[in-house]
Amino acid sequence: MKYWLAVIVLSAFAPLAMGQEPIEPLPRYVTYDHAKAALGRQLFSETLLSSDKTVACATCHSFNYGGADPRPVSIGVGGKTGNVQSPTVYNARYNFKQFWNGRAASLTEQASGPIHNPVEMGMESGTVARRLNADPDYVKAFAAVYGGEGVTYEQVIDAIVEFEKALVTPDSPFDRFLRGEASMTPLELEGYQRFKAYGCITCHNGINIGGNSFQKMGLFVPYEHDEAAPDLHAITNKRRHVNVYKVPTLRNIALTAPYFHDASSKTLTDAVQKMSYHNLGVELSDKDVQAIVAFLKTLTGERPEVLR
Amino acid sequence: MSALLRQIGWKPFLALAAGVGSFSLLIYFYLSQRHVEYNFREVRGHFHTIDRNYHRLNYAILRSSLFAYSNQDEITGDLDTVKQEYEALRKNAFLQRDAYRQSYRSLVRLGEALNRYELMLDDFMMLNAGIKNSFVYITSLSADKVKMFEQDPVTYARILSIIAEVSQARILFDATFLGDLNREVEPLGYLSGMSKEQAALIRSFILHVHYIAGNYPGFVQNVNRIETFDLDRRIVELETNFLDEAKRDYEMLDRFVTILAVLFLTALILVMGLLIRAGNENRRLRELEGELRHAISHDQLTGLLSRSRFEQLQAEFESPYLLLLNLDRFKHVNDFYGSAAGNAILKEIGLLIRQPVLEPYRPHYFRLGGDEFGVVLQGIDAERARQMGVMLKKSIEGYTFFVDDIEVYLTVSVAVNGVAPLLENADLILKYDKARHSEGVLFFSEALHLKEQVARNIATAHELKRALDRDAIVPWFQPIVQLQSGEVAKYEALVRMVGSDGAIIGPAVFLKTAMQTPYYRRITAVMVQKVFEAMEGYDTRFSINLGMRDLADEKMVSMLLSLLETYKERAGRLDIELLESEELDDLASVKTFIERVKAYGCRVAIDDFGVGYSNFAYLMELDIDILKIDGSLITKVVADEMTQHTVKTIVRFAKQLGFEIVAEFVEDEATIAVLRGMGVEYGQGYYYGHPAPSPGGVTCISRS
Repeated sequence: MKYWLAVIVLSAFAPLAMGQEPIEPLPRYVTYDHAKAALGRQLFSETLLSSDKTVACATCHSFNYGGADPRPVSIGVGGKTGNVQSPTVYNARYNFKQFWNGRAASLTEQASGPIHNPVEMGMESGTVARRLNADPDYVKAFAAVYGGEGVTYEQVIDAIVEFEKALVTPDSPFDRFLRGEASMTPLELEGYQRFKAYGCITCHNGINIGGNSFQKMGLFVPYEHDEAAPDLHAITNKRRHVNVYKVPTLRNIALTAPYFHDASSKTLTDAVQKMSYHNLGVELSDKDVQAIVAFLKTLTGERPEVLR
Repeated sequence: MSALLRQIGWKPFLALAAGVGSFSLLIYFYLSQRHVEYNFREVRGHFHTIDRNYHRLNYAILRSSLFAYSNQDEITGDLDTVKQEYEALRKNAFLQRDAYRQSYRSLVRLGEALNRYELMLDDFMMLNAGIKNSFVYITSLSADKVKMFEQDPVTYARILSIIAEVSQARILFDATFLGDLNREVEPLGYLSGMSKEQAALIRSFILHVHYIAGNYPGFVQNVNRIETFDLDRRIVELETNFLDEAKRDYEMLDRFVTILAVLFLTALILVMGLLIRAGNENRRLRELEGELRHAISHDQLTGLLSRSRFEQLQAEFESPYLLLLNLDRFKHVNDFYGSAAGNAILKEIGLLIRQPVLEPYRPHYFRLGGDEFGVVLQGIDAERARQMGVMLKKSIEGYTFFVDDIEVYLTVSVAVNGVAPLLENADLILKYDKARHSEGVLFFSEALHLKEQVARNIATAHELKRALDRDAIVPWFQPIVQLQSGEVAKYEALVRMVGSDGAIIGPAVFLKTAMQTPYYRRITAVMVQKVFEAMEGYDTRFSINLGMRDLADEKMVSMLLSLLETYKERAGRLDIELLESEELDDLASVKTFIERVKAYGCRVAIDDFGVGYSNFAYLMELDIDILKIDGSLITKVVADEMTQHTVKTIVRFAKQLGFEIVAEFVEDEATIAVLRGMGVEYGQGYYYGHPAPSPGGVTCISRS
């Protein structure tokens, strides 16, 4: 046991002493165009952007729920349901690709997805522009930011993306710990150590603690496969890409229940157990799970400055 | 404006156009070159970034596969950079040009390889995660927990050996060290009587071992494949193609430079050529100038200084004396021997006059005219100058000129003048000399008042003109009387000019001068006119005087004839007295004239016969009616026997040819008696009457 502790502590601090943790803290401040972002913020909550004017981006990426949706699947226009748990919009700029199966290479590409998706917002680009042009306030606001003669769809997307780029949640307890500004409780530290030792960090690393590779859900123990699910197989049609998804971020994970693409875990504990079983091939002890969960809770950052 | 343009000519504009053209070309070249350079470097920059990030990517991948904890952001970041650089290259307008077709194709292939690479990378990442976790699990976690099986040595050993194999394979990165893991781990699946913990461990252990056995070989291959993926090759291929094709751009630029260099050299050579030519022309012009100057200041034939040079130098001479040498009748030499011979003689004279004795006087030798030479001496006195003049005259006149082997001798008139203007005054005395036919060297002195002579000539001409305008030319009449009867047979009209003061001026004063003016014709016309007018009221004959020389003047002749025509009926009463002159060559015109006037009924007389150039041949050739014996003979006829004989001969000759005879200057009775004895019919002179303004002014002289 003592040996364990020593290993833990040493392992925890040694890399710190070397300064080479595989997780990077979020930058304290991000630069963005404030005028555009302000406009984008307005658009993010603008239900005009949905066909029946009931749904806005913020409906499924709610700032009260860590930038995600507390429902297992989101509900779009006309009450239509989607096929996947809404991922968080917070820190999304740090994902190497967007959507569960990475089919969008950038935030700009992603933004059009929900807008055009018939079960989400169900709009055409022309309609978006027309609706906004009908509103003199919007016309004035866009003119102030973009100049030009009228609102264009591209400008709408541009503003929304600029806003999303500002949605960064810095200064989580773990980030502060990484910068040496604060300490973690022994349990949290233990949780981080186990997170590394068991190999969670193999996939959940980088500045976004995830979001930088595709991995198979059910790497060691196969996971059930839903044909309708938007995995990588849905794009490439390769057998080996079944149940392969972009690794989601663990930042603010405490806020974004339910978990996994199918929202099959409602609690962190359950999620950790499922993960370790399917993807690590390890049955974690309760102690381990507890520690890891404690660690995961340190990943919650401050509300983005742009929202204040 | 257009005149100015024409003066400048088209060449400067052509040069300007060429200059502007090549300058524009130069600028275009510079811009092209800069453009090429810039793009070249930009594209190259992209290549380097791709290359660099690709290798970092490889490194990151390797690191990720070896190290337990690695930040995969590096991998995605590097790949993203490569993809962005690729995109930038795809958009680069430079590479889309035709010249870079190969490069562009390589780029496209690179893009395709990149896509494949990305997919391969994704697969690798997935595999990598699993493999890493399994190894970590098996080697580290199991190492501690496996102590649970210490009681079962077989199982324990089995587990440990598997762990060892896996570790080795991991460390050596070689799947062959795995042996047959599945077979080895199989017995562990049949274990029984384990605790929950043990069971859980065994379950996980088996899971991971299976996983490794199944996936590690593939994983190693995957890593190798990624490492040896031909993306590198594609990058190199792209770079090579680009460099090759860029070379062509540079070659184009090189060609451009060559053209520019050629143009520049051409221009340089052109300029040099033009400068050399200009220099040559300058030199030629200066030579020409020199030649011209020499030509102007020298006579081409003789090499002596020219007249214009004389005029230039005049002011510089110090108390000079001009010896003006005029060759007498040189025209004859030219006409007779030809101008080639004439020129040769002139050349010789040019040499002749350069006498050494003149040297001390700073002589300047001139050819001043066609047959006129001049020597200007300075620092010499009048007497010495005259002596020099004599010496030159003697040397020329004493020299034997040869035309082939024919001897030619010349005479020369020399004028010496020291009074300014040198040439004009020398000319004056020369003409004076010639006019007076004197010998020797003529010395100019103001006492000769030669200039006054000229002035007088001009004045006389003026007077004549005025006289004509005033109608002051009038005929006076002198009677010609029949010697036997003493009756007036006819009147001779003699020209008189009424001066502005009323004085009567005789022809001796003005006629000679008048003959050298065009007024002479008018005078004659006026005379004839007035004579015809005077004839009215008289039934005697009238005679007028004409010089034979005048008959050569066509205008004079036609004027006379038209007057005769006008006064046709009186023309029959007109006698025309012709005076001989030395220069009558054209007998034919005289004959013609006589014929024509005779047609009108005029009669023709020869005036002043017996002295001077009297020519009996004339009398025979021409159809004469009357002979007038010169007065100088008549005045001596009484006293001089010789004269008597002469006059007798003339009378006898005239009578034989049927001429009427008139004696002039009859002044006394004795003369009349002698003349009558000879048989002379008519006489004229002061005895019978002086000339008077009108014919009637003379009374008939009775017989004495």
